[in-house]
Amino acid sequence: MPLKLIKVKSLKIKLIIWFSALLIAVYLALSLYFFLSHRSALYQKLDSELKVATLSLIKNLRMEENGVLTLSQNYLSGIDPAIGFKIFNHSGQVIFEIIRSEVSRERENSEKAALPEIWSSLDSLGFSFADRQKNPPTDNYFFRTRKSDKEHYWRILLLKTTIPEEEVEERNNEKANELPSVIYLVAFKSTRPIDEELETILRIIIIGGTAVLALSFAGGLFISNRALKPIQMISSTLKNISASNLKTRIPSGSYDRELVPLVKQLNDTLDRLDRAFERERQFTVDSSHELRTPLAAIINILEILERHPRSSEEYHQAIDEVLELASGLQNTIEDLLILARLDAGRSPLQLSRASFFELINEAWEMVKDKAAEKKINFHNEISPELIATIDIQKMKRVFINLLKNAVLYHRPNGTIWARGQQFNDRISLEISNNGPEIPPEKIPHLFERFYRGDESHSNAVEGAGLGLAIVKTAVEIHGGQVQVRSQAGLTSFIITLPKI
Amino acid sequence: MKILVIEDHRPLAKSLSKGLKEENYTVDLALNGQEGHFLAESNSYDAIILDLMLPEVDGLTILKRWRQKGNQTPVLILTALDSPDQVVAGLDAGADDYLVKPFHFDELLARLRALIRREHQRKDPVLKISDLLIDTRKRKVWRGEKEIFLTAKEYSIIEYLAYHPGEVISRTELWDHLYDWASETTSNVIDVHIHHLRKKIDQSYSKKLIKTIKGGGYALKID
Repeated sequence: MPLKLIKVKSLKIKLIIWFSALLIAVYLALSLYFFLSHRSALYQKLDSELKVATLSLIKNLRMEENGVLTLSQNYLSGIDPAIGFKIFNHSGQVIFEIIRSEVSRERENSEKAALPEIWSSLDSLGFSFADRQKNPPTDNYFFRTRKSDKEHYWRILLLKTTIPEEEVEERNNEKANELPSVIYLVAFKSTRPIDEELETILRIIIIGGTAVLALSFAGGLFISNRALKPIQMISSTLKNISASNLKTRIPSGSYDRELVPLVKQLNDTLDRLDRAFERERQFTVDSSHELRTPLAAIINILEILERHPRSSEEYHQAIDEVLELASGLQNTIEDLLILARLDAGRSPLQLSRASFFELINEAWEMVKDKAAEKKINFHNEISPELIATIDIQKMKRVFINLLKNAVLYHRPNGTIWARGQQFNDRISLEISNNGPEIPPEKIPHLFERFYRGDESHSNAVEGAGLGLAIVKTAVEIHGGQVQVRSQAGLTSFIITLPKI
Repeated sequence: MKILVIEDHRPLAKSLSKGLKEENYTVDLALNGQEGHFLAESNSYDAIILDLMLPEVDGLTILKRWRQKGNQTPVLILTALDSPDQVVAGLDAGADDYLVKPFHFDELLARLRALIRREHQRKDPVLKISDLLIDTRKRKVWRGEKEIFLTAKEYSIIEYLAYHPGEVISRTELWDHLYDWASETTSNVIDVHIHHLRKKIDQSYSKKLIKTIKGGGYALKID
């Protein structure tokens, strides 16, 4: 089974983890840098000690006539007793050795047997015979760290040099050529003090790291609490907001710059919700008014009619009034149902190919009697070739409503036109009339539900002001839009539909 | 009794006005808020029936304006708005009663009578002056055991006087409460009605109830 990473869901824990990880990483990097540079400084110091001791040893070395090297006794007092020396001749034999108490103590402490092997030959010190033969570099210092046993390290200096010539000539002129003028000098010192110091440093680093880790958790907790506090404040404000109380807003002043867009977004969303609820509420109020008032009138007319004996003329008049009111009520209910279905998306688009010319002619059939009363002319100027994929029933309703309105608000003997135009990506349809213009301040409200141009709610028969709301909703369901232009004596409702 | 009906739905307004007139009320009708406000400011009504959703100025705004200016006329709100919030808002704006559409005309009439009784600190729908009884529910009048038959206008005058027992009511005041703003009759006709009322109510009784106050008007009182 593959290992799954545990997904941390808490922002707080994430913040703490990131904060701690970052802090620890910085701490480790710094510690590592310090450790390594300190180690290299310690080795440099050790190396220069070896170098100085070696130089001074060479100065104090004397070559006896028999080829034995001797050292002036007072030399040793000035030299670190922890440094040991060995000198090999050209053929790799030990010709000289200084191992004093400090060195031997180091050697005692470790496994005695393991020790000599390391520097018993030059080869084991990485200074092979082959290397020595080949143009050997003279007076060059080589430093190596060698392990004498499991945990004991030595720092070793290797130097190939020659004994100063003047001295050799002085003492043994004839035999000069036989003398081993080239020697290999090895100086060594235990790295134990360095190792111990580095170990202590490492221990301090680890202890410090634990402290840093603990601190970083505490700090992370503190920072994440502080960072999350405004979010908690926002959420506690939001908790108090419900459908009945949409007026509350998150106070925007007190938040940090980074949270301002979030607060603004939330407040904007609340504004939109509030407006939607307000519209819904207004719609309920309006629809109850539009349904109850005509109903109240019907009941009132009938109740009053019943209170006293009436003439047949009075009865007929009342029947006419009630019928008119009832049919107005029926229209309102029909329109409300259409809108409710459009809103709920419960009447999906039933798309088919249709000719707008024929569709608009059919729509005109529904209003032409009313138009004839006012002697209104109609010109359908749409090309019969203008065909589109639409929901025929819904689009027919759109044109019936637009034509009905055009007739209703038109003056007698006026004219109504239907025009159409085809573009690459859209179809534009226009129902225009040369009737009275719509005042500009009314245009933005035309498509609102229950809005009526004449603002009197008394024209019961003419509908409740839902016609244009239905037009807008139906066109928008088709992915199109409706615009109104009313100027220079011409009022046009322009429908733009995308070409499917 | 004179009622102002402010209602923008023309068929309902017409029908209400007709029904109230048949019930012997004098009715002024306003089809929008502006007109209703103007009529209420310039006339004295015994009650106002107010719709809330009106074109131009809405009902609550008008009502608040009246109450701020000290208009004390009883107001009955007649509206389609039925939520408790809206009822509370209506009553708190200074309305005396609230009735939701659709409504029963009988209920509306009963509420109107109650409003008028309350306005005159009465509880009993039957008004009594000595042995004169006026049943405001059926608009019937008795003197002692004997029922007295009055015309609509005569009844209105005696009812109005009986609501203000002992008070001197001027001809103008009577005229204001009995005729709508469009009437062209003069206040002389009041004297004619009073003359007929005297014949029917006081003539055959020793105790005269209708008094003429010189330079003032009329009063209904026991000596």
